[in-house]
Amino acid sequence: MKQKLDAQRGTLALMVLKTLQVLGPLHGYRIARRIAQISDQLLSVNQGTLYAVLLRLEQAGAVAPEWRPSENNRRARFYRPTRAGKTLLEAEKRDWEPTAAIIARFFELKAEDLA
Amino acid sequence: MRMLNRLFARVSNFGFGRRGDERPREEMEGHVAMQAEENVRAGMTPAEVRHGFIGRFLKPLHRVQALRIEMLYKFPVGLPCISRCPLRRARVHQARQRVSDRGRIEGIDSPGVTDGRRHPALSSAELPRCGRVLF
Repeated sequence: MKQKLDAQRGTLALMVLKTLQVLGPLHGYRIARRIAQISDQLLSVNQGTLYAVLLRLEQAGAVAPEWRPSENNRRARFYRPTRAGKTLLEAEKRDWEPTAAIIARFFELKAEDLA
Repeated sequence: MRMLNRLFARVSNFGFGRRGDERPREEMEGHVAMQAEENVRAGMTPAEVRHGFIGRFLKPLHRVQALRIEMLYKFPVGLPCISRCPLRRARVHQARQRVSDRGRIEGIDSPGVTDGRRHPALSSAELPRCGRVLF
């Protein structure tokens, strides 16, 4: 059985922004479901953490919320990435990629490589 | 800019008589209701869904309330004779009754079965209320 991991807050904001950028405006529940689906059910997004991240993104102007009826006619708050959000995502991606590459190099490290 | 936005939000909340935490509360209620609907579609019975949410949200609350009442009864603040005061005893009894009533109504004691009888499952029309009750 796969073990579910805790999504770190910094990375969760990136996941949320990327999900919104690719899939367009979504409400909180759908964002959580999509993140679980994209991570092959490895990540389970905590409701409290997700809404805190969405609030922070909203305050930073990275997402623009709007109340609309959802697919089952329930009133829901849809989040749309703004231009500032897209810029933020690009900047974070530029920062994140070298970090991920460095960590990957450490994981692949063998003793003979250093000899 | 952020301060101006916050100031505007506060003024509009004050003007429209809204509380600042109403919006996230409404949003989370919607989240829980959508999750409940999806669980029902996936095959869970409404009673199981309700019990799952009660286990997560209401049980801790119920335990805290019960503990508070026990503390009130066992460790009265002030003179020991206060605990023998009929008025105080009546209030403690009322408080205990409230907690047990709530437990009976919302099925806290066991899944679907409380005080020896099985409660009817919620209809799909009642389900959204289930989410609303929890917050």
